[in-house]
Amino acid sequence: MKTTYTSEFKNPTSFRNPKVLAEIAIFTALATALSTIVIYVMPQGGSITLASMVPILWLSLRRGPLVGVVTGAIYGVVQFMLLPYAIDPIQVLLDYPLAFAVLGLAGFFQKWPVVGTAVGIGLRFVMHFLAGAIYWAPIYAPGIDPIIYSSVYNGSYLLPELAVSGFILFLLQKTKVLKAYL
Amino acid sequence: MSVFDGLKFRKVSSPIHNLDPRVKFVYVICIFVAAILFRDILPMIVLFVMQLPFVFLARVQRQWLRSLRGAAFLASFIFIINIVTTYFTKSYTLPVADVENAVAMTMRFVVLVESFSVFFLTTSPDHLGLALETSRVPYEFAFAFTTAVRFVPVLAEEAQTIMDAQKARGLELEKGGLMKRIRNYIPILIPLIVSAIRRSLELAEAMESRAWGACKKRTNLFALRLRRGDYVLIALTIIVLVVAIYTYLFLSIPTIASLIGIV
Repeated sequence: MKTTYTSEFKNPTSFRNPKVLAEIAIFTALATALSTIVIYVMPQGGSITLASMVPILWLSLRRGPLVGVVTGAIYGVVQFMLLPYAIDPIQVLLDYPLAFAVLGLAGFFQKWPVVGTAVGIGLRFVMHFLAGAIYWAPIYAPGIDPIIYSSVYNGSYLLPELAVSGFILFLLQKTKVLKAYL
Repeated sequence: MSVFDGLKFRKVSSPIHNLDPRVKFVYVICIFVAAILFRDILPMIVLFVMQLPFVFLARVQRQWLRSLRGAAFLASFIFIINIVTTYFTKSYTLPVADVENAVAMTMRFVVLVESFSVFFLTTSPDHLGLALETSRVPYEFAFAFTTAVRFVPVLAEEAQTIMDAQKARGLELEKGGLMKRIRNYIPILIPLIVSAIRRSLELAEAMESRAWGACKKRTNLFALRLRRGDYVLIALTIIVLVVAIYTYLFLSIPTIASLIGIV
């Protein structure tokens, strides 16, 4: 049987490289596992998870935006599997695969992890904001302005998550774990 | 690890679990579309009842009730907000039609959410990966998806072990303000990430030693084949779709109020 062992298999930023693919799978699983650990319960009842976005941001900083986007999209599908809140086909796309895939764009800022985190989570906010304003607000809060409702609701949990993830990635960068075993 | 029950790879054999996941997915999409089309209470009840045989045949009542409880929390929220806003915008009265509308919106939400829930509860992750592969999703994605799902319980357990180990060394997790707490989690996160990288290196070696990606065309030991039950489900899907579209276009749906004659 003819083997097709191309240069793609050696490329450290291609997801066809078995090493990268294994990292994608393991870090998606890690993010899912972390999403159930709660660090801090906020006064009004919300909770901050142990930075479930960190593995995805971390992998995109390590392997570049393409790998990050693929990881995020797969993580979104796994999240959808665990908790399928679907009210419209476009809303499903925006809230699950797309919202997490854009986290991978943090990979464009490999030199500045905190900026990358802010960009990734900012874009995730945009996705949830769109889904919230267009699809959730009419059924959830018919009396309130959808733009205000969506930005307040999504901001209330994404801002603390941004602070936690940014701080942790900043500390991880200092310890040089970011490029370990590359 | 009750949250990850749905991710466990076990061989469950029931008439529903044995159905072809692709056919099941098309059926779920069809229920989803039907629920989006209607905004009345009667079709919602019909669509909700239609999911029950699936749940009972697959014997996933317990898990289903749990997911229903999660949805019910949001649903009650939707119901209350709908009632309150109607009450204030309709100058402090509650017309029967509006209450019914609120109930219908709530039911619609439950039906939409539960349609996918039933699919994921009755489809094992390995079946799902096989279905992804046969429906022309690039094998890399299907592989990453199945492997990720398979590793979630393993990594959750590992996170717990590392947390216990660090606590035994005197790490205090439940003390201090937010920043202090985050800093406390670093000694957990770093071993976790490093062990995850090690695990991924092992996985990559295992993949390479089995010639992962050596040949372009892969074959499977278990191929998905349509059986008698699948054809029954296909027929059911077509019937549901036709009835839903016919009702949507040509029939007017009576409200509950007009049926029991309140109005």
